[in-house]
Formats: sequence, structure tokens, C-alpha cells
Amino acid sequence: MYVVLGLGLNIVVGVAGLLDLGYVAFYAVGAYSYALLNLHFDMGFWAVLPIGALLAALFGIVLGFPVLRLRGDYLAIVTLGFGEIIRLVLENWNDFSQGPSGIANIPRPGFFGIELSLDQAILYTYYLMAALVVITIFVVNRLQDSRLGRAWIALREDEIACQAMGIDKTRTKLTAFALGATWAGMVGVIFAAKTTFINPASFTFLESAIILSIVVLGGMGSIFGVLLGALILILLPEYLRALSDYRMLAFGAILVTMMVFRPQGLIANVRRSYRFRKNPGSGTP
Amino acid sequence: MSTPILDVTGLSMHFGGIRAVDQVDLDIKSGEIVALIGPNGAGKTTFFNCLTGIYNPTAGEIVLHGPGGKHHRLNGLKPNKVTEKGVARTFQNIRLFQNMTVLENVMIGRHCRTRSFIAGAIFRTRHNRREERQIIDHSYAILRKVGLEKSVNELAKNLSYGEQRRLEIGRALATEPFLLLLDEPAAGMNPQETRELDGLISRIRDDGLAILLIEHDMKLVMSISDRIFVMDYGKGIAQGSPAEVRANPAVVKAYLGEEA
Repeated sequence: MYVVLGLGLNIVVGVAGLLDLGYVAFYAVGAYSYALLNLHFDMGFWAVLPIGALLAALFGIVLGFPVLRLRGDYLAIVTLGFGEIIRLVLENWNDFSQGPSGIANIPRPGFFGIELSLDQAILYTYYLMAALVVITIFVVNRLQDSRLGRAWIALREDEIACQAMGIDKTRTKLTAFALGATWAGMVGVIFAAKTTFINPASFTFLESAIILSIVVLGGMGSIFGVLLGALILILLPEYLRALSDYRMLAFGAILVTMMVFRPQGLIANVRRSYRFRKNPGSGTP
Repeated sequence: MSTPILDVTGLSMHFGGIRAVDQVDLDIKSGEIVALIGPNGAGKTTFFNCLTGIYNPTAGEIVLHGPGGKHHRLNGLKPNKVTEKGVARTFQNIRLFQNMTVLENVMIGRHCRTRSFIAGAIFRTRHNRREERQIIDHSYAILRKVGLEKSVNELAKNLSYGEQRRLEIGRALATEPFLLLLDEPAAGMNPQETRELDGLISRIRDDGLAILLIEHDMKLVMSISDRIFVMDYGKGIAQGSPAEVRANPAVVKAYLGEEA
């Protein structure tokens, strides 16, 4: 699950260079859209999955439109605020979201109308998640070496030069933001279906920070880096449960060390090479 | 020499009380190399930034006469729109995409002439693959033109200074401009590199582009320019052929000060 979130945020932070500290908000949007649509309209998992993704993307665009003219630190602060706003709204608007007590009894995903036992359902959800990971890797990989992906990277490198090259800054940034949000939305829906219970406490800033750490630790813009980062940051605390009191301390220490010694992450992103024949004209990628 | 392709009249750019560019008139005809010179701080780069949409000029008109008789008013357009209209530029302090390869830098220049979007990138339709292929071929051809075909897969930041300058020109060419603005292309180059640049600029002109360049290297300016505009303290103080400008007392005064 964190792999997908990491890869989604990777589009925003790693590739397009927009520091987003409120990523978890889109994740919450996805989760709550499933929980609420199911509660009030009895909609199934498969119907909500695209809706949740779309809603998250919509939130991404609505938030992105005013704030994407900010850069770096300023953008980070605003997105951080946005993440908190979403959480506070969910916590306090009881009529809408049932407040801090959350929403329980969210059905698990259906399997062509067949009733599944609990074990089967859990296993099924797991495979769903795995499938989403594969799809995400596929999509991100293709995006990276596309016209759009190049524009994102160029935007990260130099905004003014980018515009001088005829790239529409706002539109390109919005796409990155919305696409990242879409993925968070999808994972949100699956998360709600997996745990069958959600409350605002699942969507704190700490979650955003962990997802961001995955991207930074693994390597900005690199798919395998993010995979590795997610594995390390999610599994390591499980194995080191005995030392759990010091977990956060170690976390911080690791991140600082990374910043100093290997700012490009564990696995740096390698740009694609193209090969050409020596004779004029016809190039072969 | 034919009709003008760029007409600038009364262009002014004020920052508070400072008149960085003050009532400047300038025109460029197609196939011409025009140089814009002047002492440091004369407002040359500000002038460029007004043309390319980075600044919105305080007053004045910038009109572009594109091929096919289309007229565009450039005032207040966003930089990316200006580029779409056929005006490309390079920067005084190199602004390459450092962590992208040489080829990718040029491919970015193709951005505004291509259309693929999210769906195309994910599903890789036939149309999308063909477009991507054309981008690559076109970019490679440009790299050959600027003499960088040996380092297509190098990261831009690993190129030498002169090569980076040439790559910037290549990247600008990839947007298919008919007017190219070069901001001090020879700055920091050694004489050998400057000579190569001279050849490159002439070749670009021979391909039918008009070029406006800001340059301090007077040897380069005098040898390749058809006409020269001189600015000082934000005002246009002289224009004419290289020989005329060299003999103009106002220009000598701006550069060397009043004769004792």
C-alpha cells in the first residue's frame, strides 16, 4: 500500500519537484468517499474505486489551482495546511463524517458477487493491492519517459527555462498534482475496504511524512528507489519492534544522514539513454 | 531583406521609479542578424524579457509578423505562448535542465510542437509512438547541427561551458522559431569557441531564421551583424550598420565616456 502511495507522491515530489506535505489528504478523500458513498448510497467497491480516484483528482486540481504558483517551502506549508484542514473537517463535521468515531462496517471488495470467507477476502484484497502496485509501476514508468514526464522533470530543473521552451507551467504542474492525488484516492478506497473501519486518526500529518520519507530515502524520481524505500520504512519498524521507543529517533537520524551523504536517495534515477546510428538522420532509440 | 518580422515601438519597462527600458523602438527583418549592444545595466536583458513574456511591459507595442502574414501582439502573453508563436531564446546565465541528458534537453524544446498527453503516454498508441519517434529524430538532427551528436546521452551538467551554450541554442531551435533571441551567447567562451559560434549563428541565419543577439564580444558583433542597435540607460541611442555604429559619437561616449 505504501509502495503505491510512495509512487503516487513520487510523481509530485520526485519527478515534478513540488514538495507536497499534505498528500495524506487525498488519501483521506479516497477512503471517505468509499465509506460515505457506501453508507448512504450502498455503492460497491468497484463502483467507488474510480469515483474515489476522480474525487481525489478533483481535490488536487481545486487545491492546485491557487497554490501551484507558490514554490518550494511555501508550497510545502500550504499543502501541509490543506492536509490538516481535511483531517479537522473530518474530525469535527459530525453530520458528514461521523467525527472522530469514524465509520465502521465498510464492506470488503466484492469478487463477482461471490461471498468470500474472511480469510479469502483478506487474501483477495492483498492481491488487489499487489495488482495496483504492478499497474502503478507500469504507468509511472511509461509516464517518466513521455512528453509529459519530461516536462515535469524540466519543470523541476528550471521553471523559467521551461516556460521559454513553450511549456505551460500551470497546466503541467496541475497534471502532476492531480495524477498524484488520483493514486492516493485509489489507495484510500482500498485502504477503507481493507481495514473496514476508518477514522480521521488514520490520516494525520505523520502519514504524509512517512510517505515523503519513502520517496526521499528511496530516491526521488526513481521507481525502484521508492519500492526499496517503502520496504525499508514499513518493514524495518516491524522487525525492530523491540526498539520501538527509539524508532522515531532512528528515523530522524537516518533521514538526516541521507540528506548529508546521499541526497539523491538510495537508488538514484537514471535517465534513459538512446542509441543512434552514425549516419545522418535516422536515429534508433 | 524583406518585410519586418518584429516591430517594437515605444517599449518601456519601469520598475518603480527606475526606467529599465525607456521608449525603445526596434525592428527586425526576416533573415537578418541584429545585435543589441550597450554597457552593462543598459536594459538589454530587460528588453529581452519583455519580448519573451517574462515581464509585462509598462508601455509600448510588440508586434510579431509571422509567416503566412499572421500578426500577433506579444505584450502580456505568457512566455510559453510567446514561444508557441515562434520566438525562442537562450539565457545569459545558462539555464539548461542540468540533470537531464543532452538529447532530452532538446526534446523538451519539441514540447510545444507536439500534443501527446496522459492517455497517450500510458497506452502508447501508434500515434503516440510515431510522435515520440519524430521528436527523437528531430532532436538528434538538431544536435548534429550544433555539433553535439557525440554526447547525446551525457547529462547536460557534464558538458563544457561552450557546449552548454551550444546546447541552449539547440534547445531553442527545437521549438521551431523564426526569430531567435540569443542573450550573450559568447560570454565566457574562448576565441576558438567563439569562432565556432560565429559559424553556427551564420548557419542558423542561412536556414531562414532572424536572430537578435545581445553580445559584448565586439569582434563577433561587428563580424556577423547586419545591423546594430545600441542602448544606454534604457534608451535606444543609435542604430545602423556596424561601420555606422562604430563611427557614432553617441556610442563612443556611452562606452568610453566624454572626451576630455
